[in-house]
Parts: sequence; structure tokens; C-alpha cells
Amino acid sequence: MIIALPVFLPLAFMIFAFLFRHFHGREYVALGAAALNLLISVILLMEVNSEGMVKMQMGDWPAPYGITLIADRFSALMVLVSAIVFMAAMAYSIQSVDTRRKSFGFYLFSFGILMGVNGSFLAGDIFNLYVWFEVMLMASFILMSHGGERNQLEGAIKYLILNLISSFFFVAGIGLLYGKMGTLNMADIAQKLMSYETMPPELNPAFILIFVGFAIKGALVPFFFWLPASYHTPPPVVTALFAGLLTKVGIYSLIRFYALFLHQNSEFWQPLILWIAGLSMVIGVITATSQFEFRKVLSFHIISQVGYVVMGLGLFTVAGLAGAIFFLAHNMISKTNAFLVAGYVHRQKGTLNLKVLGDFYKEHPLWAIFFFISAFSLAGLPPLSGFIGKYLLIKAGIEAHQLGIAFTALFVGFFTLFSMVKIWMEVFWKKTPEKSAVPIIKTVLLDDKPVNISWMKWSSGAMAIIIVLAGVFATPIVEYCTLAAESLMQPSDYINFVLKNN
Amino acid sequence: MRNIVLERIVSLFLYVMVGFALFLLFRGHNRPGGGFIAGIIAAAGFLLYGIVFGSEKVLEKIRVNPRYIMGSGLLIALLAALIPMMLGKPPLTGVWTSLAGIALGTPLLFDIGVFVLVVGMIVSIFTNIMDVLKWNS
Repeated sequence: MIIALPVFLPLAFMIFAFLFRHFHGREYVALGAAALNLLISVILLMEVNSEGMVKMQMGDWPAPYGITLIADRFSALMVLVSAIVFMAAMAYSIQSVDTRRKSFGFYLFSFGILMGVNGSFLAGDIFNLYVWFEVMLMASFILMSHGGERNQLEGAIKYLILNLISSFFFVAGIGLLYGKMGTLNMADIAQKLMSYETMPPELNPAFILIFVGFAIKGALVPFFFWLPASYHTPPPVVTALFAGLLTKVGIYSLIRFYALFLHQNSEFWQPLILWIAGLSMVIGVITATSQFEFRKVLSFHIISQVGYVVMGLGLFTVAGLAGAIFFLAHNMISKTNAFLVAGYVHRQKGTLNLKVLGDFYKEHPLWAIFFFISAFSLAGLPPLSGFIGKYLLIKAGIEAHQLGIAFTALFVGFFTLFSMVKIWMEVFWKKTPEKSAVPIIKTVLLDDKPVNISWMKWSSGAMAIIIVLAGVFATPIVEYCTLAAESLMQPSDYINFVLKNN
Repeated sequence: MRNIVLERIVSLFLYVMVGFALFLLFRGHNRPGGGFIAGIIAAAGFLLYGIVFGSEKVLEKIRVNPRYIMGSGLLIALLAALIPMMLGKPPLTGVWTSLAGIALGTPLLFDIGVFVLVVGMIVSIFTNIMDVLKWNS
């Protein structure tokens, strides 16, 4: 029963926010709903951890016909991590989002994103997955353009058009696949594919279309342009939420599809995915070094870090997948927190241009520490969580005799460190330049700034603590990720679990 | 310019459309019909009314802000998902009861929710468009 709640709870909150638009305690109701969602996801994780998998048939229709909601260890972990990210974003938004945006449905659409994200993680049916992607896209488009500032609309149009193209590819692929297989249930499709000796060639167009759809959503290499063009425009908390959740859903779906369907044609897909992973890592990190806007640097790094996850997928060993799952979870939290700190810097200085910032460590040492933890976790310094993730992935790469990709990952790690040190030096360490050539341009409207920032501090601080703890006490998490990877490598368990009628 | 004949016909026709929509709503589930199509037809009735009388008169006619109509539609549909959950069944399972020989169940509740949502949605869209176009004769 618990598995349906991550979808219905956000819907219930959305109805509340829609009906009581001018209710004054809405921030706190939203925070309460986010906390409840976190609680539900913890219970779900515990249940999944003890039983292996949990499923539910919507409307009590049996498996290949009805819509399945299924949580295995991988999706339960993703639901939990996105609940943590969402909780932090909601706490942060209380004092960082202006009243005008709040009363025009900021919380309504944030919960729309949560609903879409949770639904995508739990969907066991490809058309249902597409519907959740659309829920997420609509809500995120509104949040992206919400407030209607000029540069925001420019970013939103790029975002919307490229994501609509991605949805188009995805649904076209689903249509082809349905035409050939006669079913939409993921387990049922996987079972039918397994009965073939080799993958029938007429299915390839469908999978290529679906792969391109996911690659656009997940900002993989040839299709990443929308992300850095749009992520620096909306209010900081919206960027933090997007960076933590949206691309990761595309990557999650790619991993799920690879484990269920694509690995059966691995002589084609494996080299392709490894190449895309390597190119994403390298291109993301190199383009990031040339940027001089705080959030743009971080946005380009999303591409490179998504490459790491896809590298673990491309290895397709238990160790590689475990590393990918760990890295995905780590990245959601670290990236969100880096953007939360960027939001605070913007609030204090009114700009995020690295050239005109400075002295932040002297003025706000606590926030400098928060940034230090998340940025150097992204760069992969021990004992933070990013180190464990990169270590697992590179070790898995060497063990799988894929030395090229393993060394690429190492090399990219140095460049990531370089970018993070650059932000650290420019924003936190150096003296504020007295006369800068670049005029300070206010990029995001923030009309009311309450003096009290305790919620912002607590949410960012809690994320920083989670990053440190996930690095120091990594052993149980890595064990959990290994179990999750093992069950991903055994799709027959998943298939039997879904198709078995109880 | 007012056209008395048109106004009389349209204000009668509104009731015909809404009545037909309700007929389709309750006919649904077993035979062609259902919440969505019924909502479209009822909203089309309001749209005709709006073309002749202007958007303000439509909002006067339905009395409630379309926003609340949409919200309550969603709420009713959500109830149809949650009631089976409270009885220990998966969400959206049909739970049936009988009242004086008429079978009543959560699918009907869901259809009513969709109906209300669609009416509210379309009325809200076209009244907003009419306001932008200043279509208040």
C-alpha cells in the first residue's frame, strides 16, 4: 500500500495548494508534506530492503494489462534521495522565494515535479513512464518561466522545445515498440525479448528513439545543449531542485531500460554507451572550465557527472552498476547543495559572475564550509561521498578491463577539482575587485529578503552533513547499492515478480 | 447589438447541453459516454452562452470561480483513488455499493471528478481568452 503514496501525497498537496492559493501558512504546509513524503520513502525503502521488491497493480487489474507500480532497491533509493533533495529545497524556499512567486503557485508546481519524479521511479509500464515524464515536464516548464523575467523566458523556451522533442522521440519509440511487442508492461516486454535468440532488428529503431529521448532528458553528450542554456535563469532554489531531480530521472530510466531490454543487444549498446559516457565526462568538464558564471559552471558539471553514472552503466558489471547507483545518489545531494549555496551567494551579492565576487569566506564562513563540502565532494576528495562514488566506478572500470574509460574518469576528476578550486578561489577566497570591468546585473528578481535566514542555513547545512556522513559511513550504503545492482543484473527476478499473480 | 431570438435560443440550449452532458455522464462506464466527453459537452454549452452574452455572464451563471470547480473536480477524482485504499485494496479499484437497486461505485465518482474538472478547465480557459480579447458585448 505504501508504494502508491509517493504519487498520491503530492497530488493531494497540489489540490490543497490549488484550492487555497492565498493561505498564509502554505510554506509550512509544503514543508510538512515534504517531510511526510520523506517519511513515506524511508518506510518504502525499509520494506523494499527486507522483501527485495514491492509492487502494486493499479485498480487491481493483473500485470500485463493493468498499470504496475514497482519499487526494487534501486528505485526505492532514488525515491528516498529525491525526497531528501525535495525536503531541503522546500525548507530553503521558505526564505528564498519571493511572495509573488509563492502566491502564484510555486509550491503547487514544485509538488508537480515531485509527483512526476516519484511516478517515474516507480512506474513499471513504459507508457505510464512517459506520462510521468510529461507531468514532470509541464511542472518544470512552469517553474522555469515562473515570474516571467526576460532571461528566464529565454531559458524556458530552449528548455521547453528541446524537452518536447525528447518526449516526442520517447513516445514515438514507445509506439513502435508497442506495435511490435503488443504490450506496454516493462516486465512483459523484457520477457518476450528474452524468448528471442537475438534481438529482432525491427526493434532497433524503437530503442534508438527511446535512447535519444532519455539522452536529451539526461543531458548526455550530443544532446546536452538545453541544460546550460536554461539552468542559470530561474530562481536558485528551482535550479537546485532541477539539478537534483530532473536529469537524474532520465538517467534512471536509461539504466532501467538497459538492464531490462538493451543489454540483450550489448555488442551494439555497450560500446556506444561507454563512448557517450566518456565524451560526456570530457566535454562537460572542459566546457565548464571556460565559464565564469557560478551556476553555469555547476550546470556544465552536471553533464560531466551524468557521464560518470552512464560509465558505470556501460561497464554493466555488478561493481560498475553499484558505483553508478551510489554516484547517482551522491550527485543528487551534492549538486543540489552546491546550487543552494550559489543561491545564497546570489542573495548576498546580487550577482553570480565569478569575476566580480570575492571575500565570501571572510564574510560568511559557514556558507563557505557548506560549499567546500559539496564542491569537493563533487570533485571526489576523501572522505566525502564523491570520493567513494568515483573510487567504486574507477575500480569497476579497471576490473572490467575497460582501462580507457577508467583513466578518462580519473583525468576528468582532476579537471573537476580544477573548476571547483576556481569557484572557491574566485568567490570565497580572493579579495573583491575594487573596480570591475563587468557591471553587476541583477539576474533574478528577489523582491522581499527577510533578514532571518535560518531555514536556508539549516537546509544547506543538513545536506552538507549528509554528504559527509555518506562518505564516512559509506559501507552500508555501498552494500545496499551492490544488492540493488545485483537485482538489476538479474532481470528474470523482476519479470517473475511483476508477472506473478497473487 | 442584441439579438433577442439568439439570446433566448442560447439560454435554453445551455440547459439542453448540460442535460445531455449529465445523461452521457451517467450512461458512461457500461456504454459510450463518460466524464470527459460529458464535461466537453457541458463546457460547449457554456461556451455558446459566452459567445452570445460575454464571459462575465458565464461566470455569473455558474456562480463559482472556475478555479474552485477545477480543484474540487481533482479532489473528487482523488477520493475515487483513495477510498479503495482505505478498504485495503489497490488505488483506483472499483468499489461498488447498491442504493435502491442502482449500482453506485468509485468509477462513477471518478467520472464525476473528471466531468467537473473538464468543465472548470474549459470555462476557465475560454473566459480568460475572452477577457483578453475584450469579448464582453
